[in-house]
Amino acid sequence: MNTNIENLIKGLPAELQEKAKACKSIEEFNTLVAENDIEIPTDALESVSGGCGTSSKKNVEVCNKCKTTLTNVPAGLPKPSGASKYCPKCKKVLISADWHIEKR
Amino acid sequence: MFYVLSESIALRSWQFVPQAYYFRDDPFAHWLSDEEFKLLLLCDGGHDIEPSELTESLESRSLIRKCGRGEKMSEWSRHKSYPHRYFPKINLMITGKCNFNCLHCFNAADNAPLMTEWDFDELVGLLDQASDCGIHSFTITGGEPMLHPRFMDIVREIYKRDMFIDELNTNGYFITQEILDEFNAVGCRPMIKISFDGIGCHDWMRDRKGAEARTLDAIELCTRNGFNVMSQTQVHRRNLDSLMPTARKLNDIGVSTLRLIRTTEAPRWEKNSPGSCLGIEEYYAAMLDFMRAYKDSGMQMNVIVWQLMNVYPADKTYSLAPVMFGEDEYKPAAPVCKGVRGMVGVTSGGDVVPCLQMSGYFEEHGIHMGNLHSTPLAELLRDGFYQQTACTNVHKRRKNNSKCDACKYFKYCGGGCPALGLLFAPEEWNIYGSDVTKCLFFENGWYHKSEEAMKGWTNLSSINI
Repeated sequence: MNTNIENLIKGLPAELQEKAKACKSIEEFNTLVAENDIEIPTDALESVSGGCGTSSKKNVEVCNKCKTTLTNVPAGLPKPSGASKYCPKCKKVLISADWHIEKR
Repeated sequence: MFYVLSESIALRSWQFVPQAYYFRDDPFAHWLSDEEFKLLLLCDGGHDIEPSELTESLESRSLIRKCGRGEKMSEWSRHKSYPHRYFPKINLMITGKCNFNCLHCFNAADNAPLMTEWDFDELVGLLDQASDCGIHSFTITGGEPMLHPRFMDIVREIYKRDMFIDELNTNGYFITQEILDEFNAVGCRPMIKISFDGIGCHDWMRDRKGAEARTLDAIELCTRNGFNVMSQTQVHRRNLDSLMPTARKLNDIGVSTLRLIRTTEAPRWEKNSPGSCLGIEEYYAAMLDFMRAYKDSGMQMNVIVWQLMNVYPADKTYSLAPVMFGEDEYKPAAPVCKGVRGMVGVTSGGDVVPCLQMSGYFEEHGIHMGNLHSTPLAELLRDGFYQQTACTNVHKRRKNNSKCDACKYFKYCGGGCPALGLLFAPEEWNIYGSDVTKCLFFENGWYHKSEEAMKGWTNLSSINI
Protein backbone atom coordinates (compact mmCIF):
# COMPACT_ATOMS: atom_id res chain seq x y z
CA MET A 1 0.00 0.00 0.00
CA ASN A 2 1.23 3.50 -0.69
CA THR A 3 2.09 6.18 1.89
CA ASN A 4 -1.25 7.93 1.50
CA ILE A 5 -3.14 4.80 2.40
CA GLU A 6 -0.81 3.94 5.27
CA ASN A 7 -1.35 7.45 6.68
CA LEU A 8 -5.08 7.11 6.20
CA ILE A 9 -5.12 3.83 8.11
CA LYS A 10 -3.19 5.43 10.98
CA GLY A 11 -5.96 8.00 11.36
CA LEU A 12 -8.79 5.43 11.53
CA PRO A 13 -10.45 4.17 14.72
CA ALA A 14 -8.64 1.10 16.11
CA GLU A 15 -11.32 -1.37 15.02
CA LEU A 16 -11.20 -0.13 11.42
CA GLN A 17 -7.41 -0.10 11.43
CA GLU A 18 -7.46 -3.82 12.15
CA LYS A 19 -9.95 -4.45 9.36
CA ALA A 20 -7.96 -2.29 6.93
CA LYS A 21 -4.73 -4.12 7.70
CA ALA A 22 -6.49 -7.43 7.10
CA CYS A 23 -7.57 -6.43 3.56
CA LYS A 24 -6.02 -8.77 1.01
CA SER A 25 -6.31 -6.50 -2.01
CA ILE A 26 -6.69 -2.85 -2.90
CA GLU A 27 -10.25 -3.60 -4.10
CA GLU A 28 -11.13 -5.02 -0.70
CA PHE A 29 -9.61 -1.99 1.01
CA ASN A 30 -11.49 0.41 -1.28
CA THR A 31 -14.78 -1.31 -0.47
CA LEU A 32 -14.04 -1.09 3.26
CA VAL A 33 -13.37 2.64 2.83
CA ALA A 34 -16.64 3.14 0.94
CA GLU A 35 -18.73 1.14 3.43
CA ASN A 36 -17.42 3.19 6.31
CA ASP A 37 -17.87 6.64 4.74
CA ILE A 38 -14.17 7.35 4.55
CA GLU A 39 -12.44 9.15 1.71
CA ILE A 40 -8.95 8.46 0.40
CA PRO A 41 -7.18 11.86 0.29
CA THR A 42 -6.09 11.91 -3.34
CA ASP A 43 -9.42 10.48 -4.49
CA ALA A 44 -11.32 13.06 -2.43
CA LEU A 45 -9.49 15.85 -4.25
CA GLU A 46 -9.96 14.31 -7.69
CA SER A 47 -13.59 13.34 -7.19
CA VAL A 48 -15.04 16.83 -7.27
CA SER A 49 -16.06 19.20 -10.00
CA GLY A 50 -17.91 22.45 -10.25
CA GLY A 51 -21.11 20.86 -11.47
CA CYS A 52 -22.10 19.36 -14.78
CA GLY A 53 -20.91 21.34 -17.77
CA THR A 54 -18.86 23.56 -15.59
CA SER A 55 -15.81 24.29 -17.65
CA SER A 56 -14.64 24.30 -21.20
CA LYS A 57 -11.25 23.25 -19.98
CA LYS A 58 -10.25 19.68 -19.42
CA ASN A 59 -7.44 17.96 -17.62
CA VAL A 60 -5.64 15.81 -20.13
CA GLU A 61 -2.81 13.37 -19.71
CA VAL A 62 0.00 14.22 -22.11
CA CYS A 63 2.96 12.03 -23.12
CA ASN A 64 6.19 13.44 -21.65
CA LYS A 65 8.09 12.43 -24.76
CA CYS A 66 5.96 13.53 -27.71
CA LYS A 67 3.30 15.74 -25.98
CA THR A 68 0.47 13.75 -27.56
CA THR A 69 -2.85 13.47 -25.68
CA LEU A 70 -3.11 9.98 -24.19
CA THR A 71 -6.04 7.61 -24.46
CA ASN A 72 -7.16 4.64 -22.40
CA VAL A 73 -5.26 1.46 -23.15
CA PRO A 74 -6.87 -0.24 -26.17
CA ALA A 75 -8.31 -3.72 -25.74
CA GLY A 76 -5.81 -6.54 -26.19
CA LEU A 77 -2.73 -4.66 -25.01
CA PRO A 78 -1.21 -5.76 -21.69
CA LYS A 79 -1.83 -3.32 -18.81
CA PRO A 80 0.78 -2.87 -16.09
CA SER A 81 -0.39 -2.59 -12.47
CA GLY A 82 -1.44 0.88 -11.36
CA ALA A 83 -2.62 3.67 -13.61
CA SER A 84 -1.82 3.26 -17.28
CA LYS A 85 -2.56 5.15 -20.50
CA TYR A 86 -1.74 4.71 -24.16
CA CYS A 87 0.22 7.07 -26.40
CA PRO A 88 -1.16 6.73 -29.94
CA LYS A 89 1.91 8.42 -31.44
CA CYS A 90 4.62 6.45 -29.60
CA LYS A 91 2.33 3.40 -29.80
CA LYS A 92 3.24 2.53 -26.21
CA VAL A 93 1.41 1.77 -22.98
CA LEU A 94 2.64 4.31 -20.41
CA ILE A 95 2.67 4.41 -16.62
CA SER A 96 2.00 7.61 -14.70
CA ALA A 97 5.68 8.64 -14.56
CA ASP A 98 5.62 8.83 -18.37
CA TRP A 99 2.95 11.51 -18.61
CA HIS A 100 1.89 14.83 -17.10
CA ILE A 101 -1.43 16.62 -16.78
CA GLU A 102 -2.23 19.71 -18.81
CA LYS A 103 -5.32 21.89 -18.54
CA ARG A 104 -6.75 22.74 -21.93
CA MET B 1 18.11 30.25 3.45
CA PHE B 2 14.65 31.61 4.27
CA TYR B 3 11.53 30.86 2.29
CA VAL B 4 7.86 31.89 2.38
CA LEU B 5 4.85 30.40 0.66
CA SER B 6 4.18 32.02 -2.68
CA GLU B 7 1.39 34.65 -2.72
CA SER B 8 -0.43 32.33 -5.12
CA ILE B 9 -0.92 29.41 -2.75
CA ALA B 10 -2.71 28.65 0.51
CA LEU B 11 -1.99 25.59 2.66
CA ARG B 12 -5.12 23.73 3.73
CA SER B 13 -6.24 20.60 5.60
CA TRP B 14 -9.66 18.96 5.80
CA GLN B 15 -11.05 15.77 7.30
CA PHE B 16 -9.57 12.96 5.14
CA VAL B 17 -7.47 15.50 3.17
CA PRO B 18 -4.76 16.56 5.59
CA GLN B 19 -2.20 17.87 3.09
CA ALA B 20 -3.34 20.14 0.30
CA TYR B 21 -3.05 23.60 -1.16
CA TYR B 22 -5.18 25.99 -3.14
CA PHE B 23 -3.74 27.90 -6.06
CA ARG B 24 -5.24 31.36 -6.51
CA ASP B 25 -7.95 31.39 -9.23
CA ASP B 26 -7.91 27.58 -9.48
CA PRO B 27 -11.14 26.35 -7.86
CA PHE B 28 -9.87 22.99 -6.66
CA ALA B 29 -7.20 22.04 -4.12
CA HIS B 30 -4.17 19.93 -4.95
CA TRP B 31 -2.53 17.12 -3.03
CA LEU B 32 0.88 17.37 -1.34
CA SER B 33 3.14 14.53 -0.26
CA ASP B 34 4.15 14.22 3.42
CA GLU B 35 7.59 15.52 2.58
CA GLU B 36 6.28 18.54 0.65
CA PHE B 37 3.68 19.44 3.26
CA LYS B 38 6.14 19.28 6.17
CA LEU B 39 8.58 21.53 4.34
CA LEU B 40 5.88 24.01 3.29
CA LEU B 41 4.80 24.36 6.94
CA LEU B 42 8.31 25.61 7.67
CA CYS B 43 8.32 28.14 4.83
CA ASP B 44 7.15 31.03 6.99
CA GLY B 45 10.13 33.37 6.73
CA GLY B 46 11.27 32.34 10.21
CA HIS B 47 12.90 28.95 9.69
CA ASP B 48 16.39 28.65 8.23
CA ILE B 49 16.07 25.92 5.59
CA GLU B 50 18.87 24.13 3.79
CA PRO B 51 18.32 24.38 0.00
CA SER B 52 17.68 20.94 -1.46
CA GLU B 53 16.17 19.19 -4.46
CA LEU B 54 12.81 19.53 -2.73
CA THR B 55 13.09 23.30 -2.21
CA GLU B 56 14.16 23.60 -5.87
CA SER B 57 11.17 21.55 -6.96
CA LEU B 58 8.75 23.64 -4.85
CA GLU B 59 10.28 26.86 -6.17
CA SER B 60 10.04 25.70 -9.77
CA ARG B 61 6.33 24.96 -9.20
CA SER B 62 5.85 28.50 -7.76
CA LEU B 63 4.81 27.14 -4.37
CA ILE B 64 7.56 28.95 -2.43
CA ARG B 65 10.01 31.77 -2.93
CA LYS B 66 13.22 32.85 -1.25
CA CYS B 67 12.83 35.75 1.17
CA GLY B 68 14.60 37.78 3.78
CA ARG B 69 14.58 36.60 7.40
CA GLY B 70 11.33 37.45 9.17
CA GLU B 71 9.36 38.26 6.04
CA LYS B 72 5.65 37.66 6.60
CA MET B 73 3.32 35.79 4.30
CA SER B 74 -0.31 36.70 3.73
CA GLU B 75 -2.99 35.52 6.12
CA TRP B 76 -4.66 33.69 3.22
CA SER B 77 -1.52 31.64 2.48
CA ARG B 78 -1.06 30.52 6.09
CA HIS B 79 -2.00 26.92 6.90
CA LYS B 80 -5.64 26.44 7.97
CA SER B 81 -7.37 23.28 9.08
CA TYR B 82 -11.10 22.47 8.90
CA PRO B 83 -12.91 19.74 10.86
CA HIS B 84 -15.30 18.82 8.03
CA ARG B 85 -14.75 17.27 4.61
CA TYR B 86 -13.33 19.12 1.65
CA PHE B 87 -15.96 21.42 0.08
CA PRO B 88 -14.20 23.86 -2.27
CA LYS B 89 -17.06 25.69 -3.92
CA ILE B 90 -20.53 27.19 -3.41
CA ASN B 91 -23.17 27.51 -6.09
CA LEU B 92 -24.82 30.62 -4.72
CA MET B 93 -28.23 31.79 -5.87
CA ILE B 94 -28.06 35.38 -4.62
CA THR B 95 -31.59 36.14 -5.80
CA GLY B 96 -34.55 34.19 -7.04
CA LYS B 97 -35.90 37.24 -8.85
CA CYS B 98 -35.57 37.47 -12.59
CA ASN B 99 -36.40 39.99 -15.29
CA PHE B 100 -37.39 37.14 -17.62
CA ASN B 101 -40.10 34.54 -17.22
CA CYS B 102 -38.52 31.49 -18.82
CA LEU B 103 -40.87 28.68 -19.66
CA HIS B 104 -38.44 25.99 -18.53
CA CYS B 105 -37.08 27.57 -15.33
CA PHE B 106 -36.06 24.81 -12.92
CA ASN B 107 -35.96 27.07 -9.89
CA ALA B 108 -39.68 27.51 -9.56
CA ALA B 109 -41.83 24.74 -8.18
CA ASP B 110 -44.72 26.07 -10.27
CA ASN B 111 -45.45 29.13 -12.34
CA ALA B 112 -45.19 31.48 -9.38
CA PRO B 113 -41.88 33.31 -9.81
CA LEU B 114 -39.35 33.02 -6.98
CA MET B 115 -39.23 36.24 -4.97
CA THR B 116 -36.71 35.33 -2.29
CA GLU B 117 -33.38 37.12 -2.25
CA TRP B 118 -30.30 37.27 0.00
CA ASP B 119 -30.21 40.45 2.07
CA PHE B 120 -26.78 42.06 1.55
CA ASP B 121 -25.74 42.07 5.22
CA GLU B 122 -26.83 38.47 5.70
CA LEU B 123 -24.96 37.51 2.56
CA VAL B 124 -21.79 39.16 3.83
CA GLY B 125 -22.20 37.01 6.95
CA LEU B 126 -22.46 33.93 4.75
CA LEU B 127 -19.28 34.93 2.90
CA ASP B 128 -17.45 35.14 6.25
CA GLN B 129 -18.73 31.67 7.11
CA ALA B 130 -17.71 30.34 3.70
CA SER B 131 -14.21 31.70 4.13
CA ASP B 132 -14.02 30.14 7.61
CA CYS B 133 -15.05 26.77 6.09
CA GLY B 134 -12.31 26.74 3.46
CA ILE B 135 -14.54 27.60 0.51
CA HIS B 136 -12.38 28.95 -2.30
CA SER B 137 -14.71 29.97 -5.12
CA PHE B 138 -18.28 30.59 -6.17
CA THR B 139 -20.62 30.10 -9.02
CA ILE B 140 -22.94 33.09 -8.78
CA THR B 141 -26.39 32.39 -10.07
CA GLY B 142 -30.07 33.30 -9.79
CA GLY B 143 -32.83 34.04 -10.81
CA GLU B 144 -30.88 36.69 -12.62
CA PRO B 145 -27.97 37.43 -10.28
CA MET B 146 -27.17 40.80 -11.82
CA LEU B 147 -30.66 41.95 -10.83
CA HIS B 148 -29.60 41.91 -7.17
CA PRO B 149 -29.48 45.58 -6.08
CA ARG B 150 -26.04 45.06 -4.47
CA PHE B 151 -24.60 42.77 -7.16
CA MET B 152 -21.26 44.57 -7.59
CA ASP B 153 -20.88 45.02 -3.82
CA ILE B 154 -21.29 41.25 -3.44
CA VAL B 155 -18.59 40.68 -6.06
CA ARG B 156 -16.24 43.01 -4.18
CA GLU B 157 -16.96 41.35 -0.81
CA ILE B 158 -16.05 37.95 -2.25
CA TYR B 159 -12.70 39.22 -3.54
CA LYS B 160 -12.01 41.10 -0.28
CA ARG B 161 -12.00 37.69 1.41
CA ASP B 162 -9.50 36.19 -1.05
CA MET B 163 -12.18 34.02 -2.61
CA PHE B 164 -13.15 34.37 -6.25
CA ILE B 165 -16.00 33.96 -8.72
CA ASP B 166 -15.26 31.03 -10.98
CA GLU B 167 -18.48 31.20 -12.94
CA LEU B 168 -21.33 33.64 -13.40
CA ASN B 169 -24.67 32.34 -14.70
CA THR B 170 -26.65 35.12 -16.29
CA ASN B 171 -29.14 35.86 -19.04
CA GLY B 172 -26.81 38.68 -20.13
CA TYR B 173 -29.46 41.41 -19.99
CA PHE B 174 -27.57 43.63 -17.55
CA ILE B 175 -24.07 43.17 -18.96
CA THR B 176 -22.59 46.50 -19.99
CA GLN B 177 -19.10 47.81 -20.71
CA GLU B 178 -19.17 49.56 -17.32
CA ILE B 179 -19.89 46.28 -15.50
CA LEU B 180 -17.08 44.50 -17.34
CA ASP B 181 -14.72 47.37 -16.49
CA GLU B 182 -15.72 47.03 -12.83
CA PHE B 183 -15.07 43.27 -13.01
CA ASN B 184 -11.60 43.96 -14.35
CA ALA B 185 -10.92 46.53 -11.62
CA VAL B 186 -11.75 43.93 -8.95
CA GLY B 187 -9.78 41.18 -10.72
CA CYS B 188 -13.00 39.27 -11.36
CA ARG B 189 -12.58 37.15 -14.51
CA PRO B 190 -15.20 34.40 -14.30
CA MET B 191 -16.38 32.17 -17.05
CA ILE B 192 -19.61 33.92 -18.02
CA LYS B 193 -22.30 31.36 -18.75
CA ILE B 194 -25.04 33.00 -20.75
CA SER B 195 -28.29 31.25 -21.54
CA PHE B 196 -29.13 31.39 -25.22
CA ASP B 197 -31.80 29.09 -26.54
CA GLY B 198 -31.42 29.40 -30.26
CA ILE B 199 -31.96 31.76 -33.13
CA GLY B 200 -35.67 32.29 -33.62
CA CYS B 201 -36.49 30.52 -30.36
CA HIS B 202 -34.90 32.56 -27.61
CA ASP B 203 -37.61 35.20 -27.28
CA TRP B 204 -40.30 32.52 -26.93
CA MET B 205 -38.34 30.58 -24.28
CA ARG B 206 -37.60 33.79 -22.33
CA ASP B 207 -41.13 35.11 -22.77
CA ARG B 208 -39.62 38.46 -23.81
CA LYS B 209 -39.49 40.14 -27.23
CA GLY B 210 -36.03 41.44 -28.11
CA ALA B 211 -34.24 39.12 -25.66
CA GLU B 212 -32.45 37.31 -28.48
CA ALA B 213 -30.78 40.41 -29.95
CA ARG B 214 -29.87 41.74 -26.53
CA THR B 215 -28.34 38.43 -25.43
CA LEU B 216 -26.23 38.11 -28.57
CA ASP B 217 -25.00 41.69 -28.05
CA ALA B 218 -24.05 40.82 -24.46
CA ILE B 219 -22.15 37.72 -25.53
CA GLU B 220 -20.23 39.68 -28.14
CA LEU B 221 -19.41 42.43 -25.62
CA CYS B 222 -18.00 39.83 -23.21
CA THR B 223 -15.88 38.08 -25.81
CA ARG B 224 -14.58 41.42 -27.17
CA ASN B 225 -13.45 42.19 -23.61
CA GLY B 226 -11.61 38.90 -23.39
CA PHE B 227 -14.05 37.09 -21.10
CA ASN B 228 -14.52 33.36 -21.51
CA VAL B 229 -18.16 32.77 -22.52
CA MET B 230 -20.13 29.56 -22.45
CA SER B 231 -23.53 29.52 -24.10
CA GLN B 232 -26.03 27.33 -22.30
CA THR B 233 -28.55 26.25 -24.87
CA GLN B 234 -31.68 24.23 -24.24
CA VAL B 235 -32.54 21.43 -26.66
CA HIS B 236 -36.12 20.30 -27.28
CA ARG B 237 -38.50 19.56 -30.13
CA ARG B 238 -39.08 23.20 -30.94
CA ASN B 239 -35.50 24.33 -31.50
CA LEU B 240 -33.71 21.33 -33.03
CA ASP B 241 -33.69 22.88 -36.52
CA SER B 242 -32.03 26.03 -35.27
CA LEU B 243 -29.08 24.34 -33.52
CA MET B 244 -26.57 24.45 -36.37
CA PRO B 245 -27.17 28.10 -37.35
CA THR B 246 -27.14 28.96 -33.64
CA ALA B 247 -23.79 27.19 -33.21
CA ARG B 248 -22.37 29.03 -36.23
CA LYS B 249 -23.47 32.40 -34.88
CA LEU B 250 -22.09 31.71 -31.38
CA ASN B 251 -18.82 30.39 -32.81
CA ASP B 252 -18.45 33.49 -34.96
CA ILE B 253 -18.89 35.89 -32.04
CA GLY B 254 -16.21 34.15 -29.99
CA VAL B 255 -18.07 31.82 -27.62
CA SER B 256 -15.56 29.28 -26.26
CA THR B 257 -18.00 26.55 -25.27
CA LEU B 258 -21.47 25.60 -26.39
CA ARG B 259 -23.33 23.58 -23.82
CA LEU B 260 -26.37 21.79 -25.17
CA ILE B 261 -28.83 20.75 -22.49
CA ARG B 262 -31.83 18.52 -22.99
CA THR B 263 -34.73 20.45 -21.50
CA THR B 264 -35.63 18.23 -18.59
CA GLU B 265 -39.07 17.38 -17.33
CA ALA B 266 -38.90 20.08 -14.64
CA PRO B 267 -42.31 20.88 -13.15
CA ARG B 268 -42.59 24.29 -14.79
CA TRP B 269 -41.59 23.20 -18.30
CA GLU B 270 -44.04 20.31 -18.21
CA LYS B 271 -46.80 22.77 -17.35
CA ASN B 272 -45.78 25.44 -19.88
CA SER B 273 -44.85 23.37 -22.90
CA PRO B 274 -46.23 19.87 -22.56
CA GLY B 275 -44.84 17.35 -25.05
CA SER B 276 -41.81 19.43 -25.98
CA CYS B 277 -39.23 17.30 -24.17
CA LEU B 278 -37.25 14.95 -26.35
CA GLY B 279 -37.27 11.34 -25.20
CA ILE B 280 -33.84 10.26 -23.99
CA GLU B 281 -32.97 8.21 -27.06
CA GLU B 282 -34.49 10.82 -29.38
CA TYR B 283 -32.16 13.30 -27.69
CA TYR B 284 -29.13 11.03 -28.13
CA ALA B 285 -29.95 10.52 -31.81
CA ALA B 286 -30.50 14.23 -32.41
CA MET B 287 -27.26 15.13 -30.64
CA LEU B 288 -25.23 12.60 -32.62
CA ASP B 289 -26.72 13.98 -35.84
CA PHE B 290 -25.68 17.43 -34.69
CA MET B 291 -22.17 16.28 -33.74
CA ARG B 292 -21.64 14.52 -37.10
CA ALA B 293 -22.28 17.83 -38.83
CA TYR B 294 -20.44 19.90 -36.23
CA LYS B 295 -17.18 17.98 -36.33
CA ASP B 296 -16.83 18.64 -40.06
CA SER B 297 -17.94 22.27 -39.83
CA GLY B 298 -14.57 23.80 -38.95
CA MET B 299 -16.08 25.46 -35.86
CA GLN B 300 -13.71 25.61 -32.89
CA MET B 301 -16.05 25.94 -29.90
CA ASN B 302 -15.81 23.13 -27.39
CA VAL B 303 -19.19 21.44 -27.10
CA ILE B 304 -20.64 19.91 -23.97
CA VAL B 305 -23.60 17.73 -24.83
CA TRP B 306 -25.41 17.27 -21.53
CA GLN B 307 -25.05 13.74 -20.17
CA LEU B 308 -23.63 12.50 -23.49
CA MET B 309 -20.24 13.87 -24.50
CA ASN B 310 -17.67 16.64 -24.26
CA VAL B 311 -16.03 17.56 -27.55
CA TYR B 312 -12.73 19.41 -28.05
CA PRO B 313 -12.17 20.42 -31.70
CA ALA B 314 -8.69 21.89 -31.06
CA ASP B 315 -7.17 18.43 -30.83
CA LYS B 316 -10.07 16.41 -32.25
CA THR B 317 -10.80 14.59 -29.01
CA TYR B 318 -13.95 13.82 -27.04
CA SER B 319 -15.02 12.03 -23.91
CA LEU B 320 -18.30 10.27 -23.24
CA ALA B 321 -20.12 11.56 -20.17
CA PRO B 322 -21.74 8.26 -19.14
CA VAL B 323 -18.27 6.71 -18.73
CA MET B 324 -17.49 7.80 -15.19
CA PHE B 325 -14.74 5.20 -14.72
CA GLY B 326 -12.31 3.94 -17.34
CA GLU B 327 -11.31 0.29 -17.63
CA ASP B 328 -10.20 -1.01 -14.18
CA GLU B 329 -10.66 2.45 -12.65
CA TYR B 330 -13.88 1.81 -10.68
CA LYS B 331 -13.67 3.31 -7.18
CA PRO B 332 -16.38 2.32 -4.69
CA ALA B 333 -15.74 5.38 -2.51
CA ALA B 334 -16.21 7.81 -5.41
CA PRO B 335 -19.11 10.22 -4.85
CA VAL B 336 -22.30 9.57 -6.80
CA CYS B 337 -21.88 13.00 -8.41
CA LYS B 338 -18.63 14.96 -8.62
CA GLY B 339 -20.54 18.22 -9.02
CA VAL B 340 -22.66 17.64 -5.92
CA ARG B 341 -19.60 16.60 -3.94
CA GLY B 342 -17.59 19.63 -5.00
CA MET B 343 -20.16 22.39 -4.85
CA VAL B 344 -22.57 23.30 -2.06
CA GLY B 345 -25.84 24.55 -3.54
CA VAL B 346 -27.41 27.52 -1.72
CA THR B 347 -30.84 28.78 -2.75
CA SER B 348 -32.04 32.38 -2.59
CA GLY B 349 -34.12 31.36 0.43
CA GLY B 350 -31.02 30.08 2.25
CA ASP B 351 -31.67 26.35 1.82
CA VAL B 352 -28.61 24.17 1.32
CA VAL B 353 -29.20 21.71 -1.51
CA PRO B 354 -26.96 19.14 -3.20
CA CYS B 355 -27.99 20.20 -6.71
CA LEU B 356 -29.36 23.65 -7.49
CA GLN B 357 -30.90 22.42 -10.74
CA MET B 358 -33.18 20.27 -8.58
CA SER B 359 -34.23 23.07 -6.23
CA GLY B 360 -37.71 23.24 -7.80
CA TYR B 361 -38.11 19.50 -7.22
CA PHE B 362 -36.96 19.76 -3.60
CA GLU B 363 -39.36 22.62 -2.98
CA GLU B 364 -42.28 20.83 -4.61
CA HIS B 365 -41.62 17.68 -2.56
CA GLY B 366 -41.02 19.52 0.71
CA ILE B 367 -37.45 18.23 1.01
CA HIS B 368 -35.28 20.49 3.18
CA MET B 369 -31.71 19.68 4.21
CA GLY B 370 -30.98 22.72 6.31
CA ASN B 371 -31.23 26.48 6.04
CA LEU B 372 -28.39 28.94 6.48
CA HIS B 373 -30.65 31.53 8.10
CA SER B 374 -31.02 29.23 11.08
CA THR B 375 -28.00 26.85 10.97
CA PRO B 376 -24.33 27.77 10.48
CA LEU B 377 -22.66 26.50 7.31
CA ALA B 378 -19.95 24.70 9.31
CA GLU B 379 -22.60 22.64 11.09
CA LEU B 380 -24.33 21.64 7.85
CA LEU B 381 -21.01 20.61 6.30
CA ARG B 382 -19.94 18.58 9.33
CA ASP B 383 -22.84 16.14 9.49
CA GLY B 384 -26.56 15.65 8.88
CA PHE B 385 -28.94 15.23 5.94
CA TYR B 386 -27.10 17.53 3.52
CA GLN B 387 -23.61 16.24 4.26
CA GLN B 388 -24.69 12.62 4.06
CA THR B 389 -26.51 13.18 0.75
CA ALA B 390 -23.65 15.13 -0.85
CA CYS B 391 -21.02 12.63 0.26
CA THR B 392 -22.79 9.35 -0.46
CA ASN B 393 -20.78 7.06 -2.71
CA VAL B 394 -21.26 4.71 -5.65
CA HIS B 395 -20.78 1.63 -3.47
CA LYS B 396 -23.85 2.61 -1.42
CA ARG B 397 -25.77 3.26 -4.59
CA ARG B 398 -24.92 -0.21 -5.85
CA LYS B 399 -25.97 -1.82 -2.57
CA ASN B 400 -29.26 0.10 -2.51
CA ASN B 401 -30.22 -0.53 -6.13
CA SER B 402 -30.59 -4.16 -7.17
CA LYS B 403 -30.60 -3.29 -10.89
CA CYS B 404 -27.30 -1.40 -10.57
CA ASP B 405 -25.84 -4.16 -8.39
CA ALA B 406 -26.47 -6.75 -11.10
CA CYS B 407 -25.52 -4.55 -14.05
CA LYS B 408 -22.33 -5.28 -15.97
CA TYR B 409 -22.02 -1.61 -16.90
CA PHE B 410 -22.10 -0.26 -13.33
CA LYS B 411 -18.29 -0.34 -13.14
CA TYR B 412 -18.30 2.24 -15.95
CA CYS B 413 -21.23 4.54 -15.11
CA GLY B 414 -21.32 4.31 -11.30
CA GLY B 415 -25.10 4.57 -11.55
CA GLY B 416 -25.12 7.84 -13.51
CA CYS B 417 -26.63 11.16 -12.47
CA PRO B 418 -28.38 10.90 -9.07
CA ALA B 419 -30.65 13.85 -9.88
CA LEU B 420 -31.98 12.00 -12.92
CA GLY B 421 -32.30 8.86 -10.81
CA LEU B 422 -34.39 10.86 -8.38
CA LEU B 423 -36.46 12.46 -11.12
CA PHE B 424 -37.35 9.11 -12.67
CA ALA B 425 -37.74 7.20 -9.37
CA PRO B 426 -41.27 6.15 -8.50
CA GLU B 427 -40.63 6.75 -4.79
CA GLU B 428 -40.80 10.20 -3.23
CA TRP B 429 -37.19 10.19 -2.06
CA ASN B 430 -34.65 7.74 -3.40
CA ILE B 431 -31.22 9.11 -4.20
CA TYR B 432 -30.12 5.66 -5.29
CA GLY B 433 -32.70 5.41 -8.09
CA SER B 434 -31.61 4.31 -11.57
CA ASP B 435 -30.57 7.02 -14.00
CA VAL B 436 -32.38 5.58 -17.00
CA THR B 437 -30.43 7.81 -19.38
CA LYS B 438 -27.27 5.82 -18.59
CA CYS B 439 -29.09 2.46 -18.69
CA LEU B 440 -30.30 3.29 -22.20
CA PHE B 441 -26.86 4.56 -23.24
CA PHE B 442 -25.11 1.31 -22.38
CA GLU B 443 -27.88 -1.22 -22.97
CA ASN B 444 -28.97 0.13 -26.34
CA GLY B 445 -25.58 0.59 -27.98
CA TRP B 446 -25.22 4.37 -27.71
CA TYR B 447 -21.58 3.96 -26.71
CA HIS B 448 -20.73 2.51 -30.12
CA LYS B 449 -23.14 4.83 -31.94
CA SER B 450 -21.32 7.77 -30.34
CA GLU B 451 -17.94 6.41 -31.43
CA GLU B 452 -19.27 5.93 -34.93
CA ALA B 453 -20.59 9.51 -35.05
CA MET B 454 -17.21 10.83 -33.89
CA LYS B 455 -15.19 8.56 -36.19
CA GLY B 456 -11.74 9.95 -36.89
CA TRP B 457 -11.58 11.78 -33.55
CA THR B 458 -9.96 10.32 -30.41
CA ASN B 459 -12.17 8.97 -27.65
CA LEU B 460 -10.48 9.92 -24.36
CA SER B 461 -12.80 7.66 -22.40
CA SER B 462 -12.62 4.46 -24.41
CA ILE B 463 -13.58 1.26 -22.61
CA ASN B 464 -13.73 -2.34 -23.72
CA ILE B 465 -17.41 -3.03 -24.24
